[in-house]
Amino acid sequence: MKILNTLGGAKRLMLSASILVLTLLMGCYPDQPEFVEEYDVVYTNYSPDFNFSNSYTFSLPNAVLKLDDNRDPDAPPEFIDAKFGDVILANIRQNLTSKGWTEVDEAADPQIVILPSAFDTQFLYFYNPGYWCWYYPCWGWGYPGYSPGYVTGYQTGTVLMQMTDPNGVENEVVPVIWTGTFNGLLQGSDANIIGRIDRNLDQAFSQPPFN
Amino acid sequence: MKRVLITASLLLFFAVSSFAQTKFALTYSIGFPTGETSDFFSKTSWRGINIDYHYLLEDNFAIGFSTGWQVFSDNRGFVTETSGTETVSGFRYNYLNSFPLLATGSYFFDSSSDLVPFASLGLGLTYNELEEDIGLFRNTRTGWPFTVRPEIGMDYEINYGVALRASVRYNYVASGNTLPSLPSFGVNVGFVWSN
Repeated sequence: MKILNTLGGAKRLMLSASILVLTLLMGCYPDQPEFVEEYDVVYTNYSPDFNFSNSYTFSLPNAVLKLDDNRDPDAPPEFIDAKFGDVILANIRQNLTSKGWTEVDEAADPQIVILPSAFDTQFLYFYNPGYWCWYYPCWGWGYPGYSPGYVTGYQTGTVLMQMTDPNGVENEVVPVIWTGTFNGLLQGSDANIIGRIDRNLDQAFSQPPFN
Repeated sequence: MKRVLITASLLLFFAVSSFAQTKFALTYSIGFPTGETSDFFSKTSWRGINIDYHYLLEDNFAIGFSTGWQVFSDNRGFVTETSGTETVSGFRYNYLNSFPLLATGSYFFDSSSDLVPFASLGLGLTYNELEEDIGLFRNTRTGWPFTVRPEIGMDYEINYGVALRASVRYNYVASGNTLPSLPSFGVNVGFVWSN
């Protein structure tokens, strides 16, 4: 470089040192999250056509379905570890009953059926409804008035809750009236993960339309 | 587009640096968000660098170019954002990496003195990369918005051919296809080398 060649040795040294120091000060992404909790994100969406302010009866399965794209939907269902699954179910139960909803057996014609599931790899919301044929009729899903989007992940865990309205089934498509998702890194102790599940599911039930 | 602009800038740099009087400035830049930039960043940016080249057509007037890199970042804490029926909550981190590429015209008020005030105007483009992180998800928006950058400052000669520089800039960065307008103020200190 002509400019640098015209500079003396001391000047070149000063210029080089300045560039080095300034470059070291830079960085595209300073202030990154420090704790695994800071990577947690909660997403909810719902049908604007459904009245959530009423009290409903609802049913929950006894375990949280483990979703795996590599498993045939017709194969026997698999469930996530009960130490996490029970926390998810207890949280959903607690949040809904605190809003005046009543849990009933799935055989007692509940007004709302909750489908809790979890997965730990790349995945779409629009997974095969056949995974739930062991629990209730093999309906397809519809999202009345909204689109739930999708999430993908790598080394992440996602808890997906879908609220379905079996009284609204048309053409064997059941309306999914609410979708709640918690996504975060699969890192930390069991106690840490359980605490994060509890905290983030509480957050999901504090967001519209439940707030 | 980016490659063409960088190549053109380097060609201009080498072409005009081989003769006549020139000034080369390297400055540290502190950025202050203003306008819509303040909607994304409340914090001062302490990470900035500028490179300015002046080719003196006359004793007092120079043309040249200016480039640099300014990084704004902000930890917005836990946020809950609702749009229609959708609600997202999590810890929000915003980042802006800004690379201006400007042609400049500069006027040096008293080139015979050790203390030389100057005023400059830069016109060109800024490559902006605005990133909004929430959880593990990142929304990235990039663009090359039009930029106007007035600047005032002064050079103080400390040795033959070497001066200290202090200046203040306003970076008006227009909105782009997906980017909002992202203006900022800059306070710069550094060195100027002349031949």
